[in-house]
Amino acid sequence: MNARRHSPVLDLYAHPTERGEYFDMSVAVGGQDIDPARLALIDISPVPKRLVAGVGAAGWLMQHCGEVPKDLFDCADAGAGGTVVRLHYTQYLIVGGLDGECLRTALTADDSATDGVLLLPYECAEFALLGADLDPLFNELSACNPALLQADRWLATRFAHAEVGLRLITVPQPHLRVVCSPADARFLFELLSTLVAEHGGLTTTLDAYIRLIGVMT
Amino acid sequence: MTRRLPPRTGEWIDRNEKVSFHFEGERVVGFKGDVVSSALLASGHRTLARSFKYHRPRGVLSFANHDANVLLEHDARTHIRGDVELAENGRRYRAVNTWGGLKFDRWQLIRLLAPFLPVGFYYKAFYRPRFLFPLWERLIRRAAGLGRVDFNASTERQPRRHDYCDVLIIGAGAAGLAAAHALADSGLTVMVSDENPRFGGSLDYLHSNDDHAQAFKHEALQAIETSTTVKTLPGYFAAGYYADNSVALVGPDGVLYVHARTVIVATGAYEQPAVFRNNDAPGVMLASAAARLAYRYAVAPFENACVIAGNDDAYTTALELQHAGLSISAVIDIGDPATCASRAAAAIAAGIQVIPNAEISHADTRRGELAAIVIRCGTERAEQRIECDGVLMSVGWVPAAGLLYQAGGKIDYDDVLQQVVPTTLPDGVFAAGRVNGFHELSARVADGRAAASEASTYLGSTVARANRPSRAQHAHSHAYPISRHARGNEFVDFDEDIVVGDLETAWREGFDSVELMKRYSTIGMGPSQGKTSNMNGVRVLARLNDQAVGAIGVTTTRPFTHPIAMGKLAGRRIRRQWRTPMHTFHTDHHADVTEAGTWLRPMSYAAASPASAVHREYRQVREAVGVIDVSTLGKIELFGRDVIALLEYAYTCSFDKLAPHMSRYIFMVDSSGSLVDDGVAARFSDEHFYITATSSHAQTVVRQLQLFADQLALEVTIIDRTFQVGAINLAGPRSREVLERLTDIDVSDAAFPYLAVRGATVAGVSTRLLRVGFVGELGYEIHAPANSCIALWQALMEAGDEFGIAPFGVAAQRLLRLEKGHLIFGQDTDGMTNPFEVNLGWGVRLGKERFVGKHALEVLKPRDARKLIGFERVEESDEPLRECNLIIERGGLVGRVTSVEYSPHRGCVIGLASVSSELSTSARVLQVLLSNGEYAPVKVVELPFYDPGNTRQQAEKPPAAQA
Amino acid sequence: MKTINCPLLGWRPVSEFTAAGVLEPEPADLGEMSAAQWVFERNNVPMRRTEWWYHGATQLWFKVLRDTATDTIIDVTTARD
Repeated sequence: MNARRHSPVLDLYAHPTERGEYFDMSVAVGGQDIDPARLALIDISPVPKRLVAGVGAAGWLMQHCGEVPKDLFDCADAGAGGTVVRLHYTQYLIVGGLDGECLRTALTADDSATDGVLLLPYECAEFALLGADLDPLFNELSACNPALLQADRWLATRFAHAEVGLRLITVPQPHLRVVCSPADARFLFELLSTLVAEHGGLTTTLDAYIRLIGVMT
Repeated sequence: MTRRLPPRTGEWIDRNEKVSFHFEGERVVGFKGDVVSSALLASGHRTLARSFKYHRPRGVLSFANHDANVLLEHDARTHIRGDVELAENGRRYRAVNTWGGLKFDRWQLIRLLAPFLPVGFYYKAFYRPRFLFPLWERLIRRAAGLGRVDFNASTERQPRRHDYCDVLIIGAGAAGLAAAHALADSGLTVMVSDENPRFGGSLDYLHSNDDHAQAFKHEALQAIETSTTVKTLPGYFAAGYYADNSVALVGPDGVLYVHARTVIVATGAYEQPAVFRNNDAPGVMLASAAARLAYRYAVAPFENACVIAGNDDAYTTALELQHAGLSISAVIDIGDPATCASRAAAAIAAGIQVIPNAEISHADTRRGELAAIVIRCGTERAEQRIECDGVLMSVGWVPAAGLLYQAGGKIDYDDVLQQVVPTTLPDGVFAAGRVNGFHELSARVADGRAAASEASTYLGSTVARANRPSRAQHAHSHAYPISRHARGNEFVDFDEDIVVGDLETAWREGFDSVELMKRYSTIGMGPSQGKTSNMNGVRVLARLNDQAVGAIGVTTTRPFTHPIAMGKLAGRRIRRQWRTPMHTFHTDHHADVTEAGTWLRPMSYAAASPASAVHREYRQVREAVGVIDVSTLGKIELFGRDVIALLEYAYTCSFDKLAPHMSRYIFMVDSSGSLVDDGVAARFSDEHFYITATSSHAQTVVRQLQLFADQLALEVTIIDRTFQVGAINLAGPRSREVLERLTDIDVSDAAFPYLAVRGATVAGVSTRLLRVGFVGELGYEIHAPANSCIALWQALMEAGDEFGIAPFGVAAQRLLRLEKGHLIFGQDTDGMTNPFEVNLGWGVRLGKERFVGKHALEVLKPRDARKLIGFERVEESDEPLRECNLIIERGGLVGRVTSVEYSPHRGCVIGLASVSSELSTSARVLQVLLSNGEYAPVKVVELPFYDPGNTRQQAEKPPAAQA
Repeated sequence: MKTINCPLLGWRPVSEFTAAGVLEPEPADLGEMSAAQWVFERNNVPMRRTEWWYHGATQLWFKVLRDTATDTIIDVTTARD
């Protein structure tokens, strides 16, 4: 495997799932297609991300992304699933689109710390949770009311005591993208996988997710 | 002998399906839908249990889970409530707490000892002779308690869930259904729960023949079933009320924690027993119990019964039972004779004999079960004996107001109603129905509608406005349904076998307040927690004290309303564990991976023989090169104009002499001057720092730094990178050679001196390199993005192969650092250690204008009470030295061992200890109290134990370390 | 469980927060106060007081005005207001 980057939950996917590379990260591929009628859990950690911080961050983003979310926890839609999230007063998260093109310049800029702008990697695990009704899962994982979830807003809360950032995505059907730390990744993914299976769903792979999203665009 | 009534609509049993089980070895057949007690009663069993203390025969009392008479065990489960447990095929139930079975329970002989077992007897007995106490303890343990615990049983866990709604209605009887119906189309989200498997409450069994009531019930059920905003939860009881209108509901699927914006408590009331001699005999029960049995389960619990009437409801119930086909021979009215005729009118018209102006003397039993009731009536108070096999008590009510108490409501005694009623409730909490002191059906329904109206107004919504009804002007509870008898056995508390005389004894001994009486007599402390006993106890106490009942007060009602199985409380097994990027490598290489807080860390490799593995890894690092995964370190990026101001305030040292691309050791204290955390600060520029913190305190440090930045309005961006960045420590004399192979930057001493920080690409990964010295060898701490770390680690292993590189674990690292005398926060420091006590005074710059802990440190500096010293063990023995072994001097405690290990370098056991300053001189011998009580001498030595010149970790001496 | 209505966050269960109590930054000069008074003395009479509460998932501090006698929250503002 040439990829220098590995998904934090790669080892949880048992054989005979294959390993592939997306966005320069080694990830499980070859899983079943997503059935819109069932729950599904997918590791989408390879989706590229970057952290832009500092008092000059907003200006830099305007210049390089054309998008700056105004309020804390706003998500500025950049197309193809890409977005810019305001995580803290002077911290912004850039999430690339699944097309590999969206926000590319910003995502490939080198680490730097000049003129009040700090560019750093944003390392995490990310999972997609699909299903017509995710409330039963949410209600087991969190004491936070799922009604707080809104499109274009980042909801930072806890799932099973682990800090997560949640985004409600509306295409092709409403679903949840869950960001957590690499350290919590295996714990959380195993738990989500168990819950999804209990509700008759399945765990599958990133390529199946891309196919699903790709169908609509 | 079956006592089943003919089928009726709305019965809860399905006569098409039989259910067969065993009870006390005997086969019993019932119907699907039967509970164990109803199937037993239908089969003619009347004695279903033995009481706790005297092992008296007991039967059904409330048949509503308001009592704990019928407790059963089956397999590993115990304390099964027979009155609410669904009968299942093949079960083999036994009554709890018997010796030799229910029928011939040998413990019943204990009643011969009754005179020696008054209330509180165990406070006064068993002291002397002392040598007999173990015997008493064994006996008491065998006799006490109820069910037996099977320690080998595995617990079935059920996940806990949360849910949210605008209005939670607890109880789906008349008032609850009325409230739910009123809100069904309001747009508000509503949840309705009821502990019974079906909604309806007493509409099923006290108003079954009232067409108006049945129509109301069907309409309400229809409305809530079709509504898209009402969620129904049959079979869920409300265990407790918690902050901000959250209620724990417990049902067959586990615990559901409901966060409601408002709560309507429509939980009804507990019917109360009359107290008279032998009122506990099987056959004596509450009137509502008989009604539930007749209407829900089509069971005739008696051939002919008398009703003890202390209120209007007695007559309603008597008529209902007669309507169901049961025989009521007489109603014994113990209420006000003046008003008897009016309340008894309908019953008399229906041909039921009514005996006014009566008192209960006692019940007679035959073979332990009810045979007759003996009363006194008429102007002569003549005794009259009525043969019967059922006595139904209907003398009063106590609101099931536990949740209202827990919510902080005020519940006061109402002298008109002769019962407690809610008077003031907190915002967002509403009561409706019997729990609110209403007994007439129309009033309960109106009260439910009113509660719904108030709840919706509170939420800013509008449903049809409904006013609260007025309360009844006469009592529905008898003020004193208690008849004392010269020969006793008038039971007040059935769980604990407490009779009236017990309460009088307690009172005579000075336990004359409700709280003291409860704890001394144990009234209300049994499994049913006083639901059918507390109020009568209060009435007795009021009379003894010659006080109004309202002045006595009540004891605090606490969660849970009913017992909850541990598996439901536990919920799903969730254990958060943090794993580093190299976790799989560690497990694949037989590392002994251990929990260190939330992290999983490898202690050593080769789990089979950890002791030799640690020394092998140690030698590896001292002689060649090793790698350790230190990804658990806290890592914080600081960026902005006021970074240095923040660091100067948060940490004890000064940063002005720290050059760019260099690092220094830092530590922080709290306002009391106690050490909180340590780490390394690396400076990139005036506005850009990168600091590390200990694994266990990383989150605390981030939180504190953000706090300081906010308090002082500093312009700093604080980024917690603890989990985003992994770290690998490459250490050993050959470490530079390994690194050279993987990076292009100049890693010579001149270009990359000790304590320097460099950015570099290593094995294709963009990293930060810090030259550190924790383990005392030449070493580099490589910080890299977490998801790239495993590739980096593997590259290091490959590149180091020719030098014999091997991974080393936390245990080896601790030994290596101990030989260098480096302390570990939390190991060699405790919650009160200040820097001056552990040789860190050089890191405190008291001259700074302002920093956390400055004022305390100024006071502490001259005090110098303790010192952290290094020691060597001078005499070996089989008993090892352990951390926290105490150091004793002249019989007094003068210190403790904080770290201790065998040092391969010194060839003996070494360690660190915190001791009184006057004992800290070099070569001083101290006595350590070993775990087995022996003493071992140790000698104070200079630190470090290894490489005092620090030549291993740096080529040339660094600038003198300073604050 | 207690819930807090925070600006920026909405209604959140109290389990998402760390309550840190009344906090003052350490001043350069204590004035009349001794170091021991600064470190150890606290006023615990029932009162309405401003407390610092930390929301871990977002790294945000809030100032909560709370009535300690009734445990009711009167107002919540962000630390940086």
